[in-house]
Amino acid sequence: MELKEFKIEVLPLRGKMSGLARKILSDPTDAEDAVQEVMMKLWDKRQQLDDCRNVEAFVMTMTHHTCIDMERVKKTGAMSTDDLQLADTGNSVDQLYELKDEVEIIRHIIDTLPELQRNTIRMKDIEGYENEEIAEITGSNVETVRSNLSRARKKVKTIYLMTIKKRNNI
Amino acid sequence: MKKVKNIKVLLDKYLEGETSHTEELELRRFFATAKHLPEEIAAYKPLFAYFDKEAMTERQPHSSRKLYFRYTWSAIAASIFLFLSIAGYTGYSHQNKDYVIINGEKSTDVRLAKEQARKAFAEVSFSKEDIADDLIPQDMKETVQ
Repeated sequence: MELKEFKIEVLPLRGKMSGLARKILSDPTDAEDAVQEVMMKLWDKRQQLDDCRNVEAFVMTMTHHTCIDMERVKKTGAMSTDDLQLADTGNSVDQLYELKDEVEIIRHIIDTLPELQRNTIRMKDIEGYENEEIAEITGSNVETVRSNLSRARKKVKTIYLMTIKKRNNI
Repeated sequence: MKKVKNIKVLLDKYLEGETSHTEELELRRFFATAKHLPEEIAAYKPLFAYFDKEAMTERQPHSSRKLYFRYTWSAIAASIFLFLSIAGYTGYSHQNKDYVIINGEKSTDVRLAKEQARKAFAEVSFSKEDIADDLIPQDMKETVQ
């Protein structure tokens, strides 16, 4: 499935996905994040979608699971996934500074980013899509994409600098 | 030095998520070739190196899709070849299936074959008595008589 089919088959389901997400997640911002995350996962799996008999059922199931996961994370931490990630940062620095190769450190940091941020950075920095294209694929607006991208990049930089600092002090 | 200043401007834009793909490629190129980076921007070198590396392997899924099609075509070609060879082989044996082996030698001579067959049948033919002997057991034969 390429962009054209994706637009025809998946994007129109966005309204339905948002409806489901809002039912599960009380916070509308979280619901929007969840839908975007699912859209990116779907774009990532677009090759597999060709073999999918019922795309709508597949999409709705994925939305449901993603929302349930987000709700679970929220309940356990009672804070946003961003804060949770920052609390995690200490841990990841502890494991990372032992890595010799700086590029490997970057890889680990990106792997531990929240899914939405990781997928956004992947689409922009690795797959080479423009913000407008990402917004189109995820059915969101350019400003949301830019802000997710910015959060992701700043976080990678912060964690990386902390890791290097710790390594140099030893 | 002026270049480094430009790069710093681009990096600020980059962190805000405002750079275009072309500008990001420019950043990548700069950090891939630059030596003796100022400390405050040295942290970006592994970041862009990582993206470079990943972007390279990213092209794999596309080529694997092409490879998949190539295998499909090879499979089709192989099946056609197999079909043709089987058809050719059976066709070939059809043309030559009428032959006999006489004294270990292959022969297509019809007359010779008939003569040999008649001779062979003469050797194994038997009379009605012979058949009765074979079919009816000895003791039963006595009671019949």
